Amino acid sequence: MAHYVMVIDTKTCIGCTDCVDACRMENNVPEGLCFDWVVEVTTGRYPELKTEFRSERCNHCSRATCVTACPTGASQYWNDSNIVVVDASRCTGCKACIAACPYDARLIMQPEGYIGKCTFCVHRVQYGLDPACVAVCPAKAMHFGRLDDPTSEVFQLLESRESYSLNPETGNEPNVFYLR
Amino acid sequence: MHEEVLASVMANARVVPQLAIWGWQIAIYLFLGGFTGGIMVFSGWALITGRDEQTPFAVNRAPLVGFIALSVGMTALFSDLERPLHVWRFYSILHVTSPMSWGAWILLLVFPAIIVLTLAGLPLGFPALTRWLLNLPVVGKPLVQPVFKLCFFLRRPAAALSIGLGIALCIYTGILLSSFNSRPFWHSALLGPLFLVSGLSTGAAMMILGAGTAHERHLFGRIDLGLILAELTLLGLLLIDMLNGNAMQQGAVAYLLGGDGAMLFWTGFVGFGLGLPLLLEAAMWRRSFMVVASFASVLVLVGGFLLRDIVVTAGQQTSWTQLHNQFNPDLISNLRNDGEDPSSRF
Ligand code: SF4
Ligand code: SF4
Repeated sequence: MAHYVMVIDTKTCIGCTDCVDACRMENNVPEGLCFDWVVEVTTGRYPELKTEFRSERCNHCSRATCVTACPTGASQYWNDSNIVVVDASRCTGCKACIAACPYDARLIMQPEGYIGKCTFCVHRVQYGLDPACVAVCPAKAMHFGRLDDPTSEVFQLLESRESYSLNPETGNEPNVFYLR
Repeated sequence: MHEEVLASVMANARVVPQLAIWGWQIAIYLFLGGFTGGIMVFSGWALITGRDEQTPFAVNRAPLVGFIALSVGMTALFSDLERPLHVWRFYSILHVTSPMSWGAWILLLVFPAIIVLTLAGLPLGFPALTRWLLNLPVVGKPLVQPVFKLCFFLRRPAAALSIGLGIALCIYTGILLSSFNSRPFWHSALLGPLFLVSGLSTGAAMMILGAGTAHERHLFGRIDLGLILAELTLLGLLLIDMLNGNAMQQGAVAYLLGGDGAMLFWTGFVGFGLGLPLLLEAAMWRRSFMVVASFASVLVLVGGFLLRDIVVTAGQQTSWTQLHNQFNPDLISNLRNDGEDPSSRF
């Protein structure tokens, strides 16, 4: 099984939200909404405060609750990988998957009514390209690749640096990692 | 300190309130589904135990009420689908891990069972309507009459089936919500039994409202008293579960116990939906009075809806993502009005 992950370096990310705009252009995201978003995390105690930026999106969970909750099978894994996609022709817009996603990564495409979300840009990935957000990042803070390939950049990064994922206690096994 | 602030937009109901996942349509559907389930259980039980004489409403008339209620509920559900034309997709697959898929199939089985019960009860329950149907031109005699006969013939097996399907229908509405680990307030297995008991209670309330004999009213009054007690117990257990749960569950239950939802929860649901009918039914333990019993039943029905509405709302109050939000959706319209064409910006 192809195991795609995204590795985002919070040390180099400058919080410019270019990834959000790139995604909007690439994926026809409804106005005012987005498939990815940037969070500014401040920790510590004044005056010793630390800030990091985190570009968040669907985690393409290895155990995706949105896929198990979908009554029609519209939410599914793409080509035996961990990339979760929605087959618009099968989607009823019942919103069970929105309720089932612990990361609130899903939204309704207006006006069509099917469910939209980050697809890791499968339409680019299948031609060997990086997702739009990764390709456009001016700080080169984002990396995309296969974790099942020990020679890949993402594998090396996760090997050599400390990292975390968002709320792994959901049990969903999220696949977007953040380098500390 | 640890503070997470959203630097861009997010498609989250707590950021853009219009994005709430489920609203009153789903609450109506969950309520009417449970209500119909309750009616099916009691009608089926009355039929199987041969109580045609003592409980004429439950046997002959209630199934029609259930059929109409379920149809209205399904319409509400249908209207909540973002792609209603794709509704048939529910029946292209049984997705075993998805409670909603199970529910869709349960509904498909419920309809024939309740239709058989409805038609079997029609001649005695609604003679005028039956006469009108029998006198319909062309189809009246050759089609309607045999159908009535067949349904009457099938009514006992259908009644047995109805008890099982009614319970499944009631409990599934709770399991549907409780299967979402992602919505902390829903994530309790107590929701299934709570909705089951509430569904049965509203079904019994309908029997009291329509009761054909004093005996029927009194019988279902006593049944409902027991069900309300069971519902209060389960509600208490659910609150204990949530109060001892994780931070997100505590946050959601605080919304009910002391936050914005407190008024509706305490006064509406606990006070008028459970407490008052409990007192009234208890007072009528020996003798039932029609006006009082009907009033109590209406309260039980309102309470049944409030329970669904409260649970649907509370479940969406907290989730794993907890961000401070700087995005104001109202400002989007300002952007639109600044004379710039948004699609020409790039
Ligand atoms: S983050 Fe949400 S939408 Fe994405 S795979 Fe996981 S559960 Fe599904
Ligand atoms: S809204 Fe569409 S993708 Fe989501 S659960 Fe319903 S049918 Fe599946």
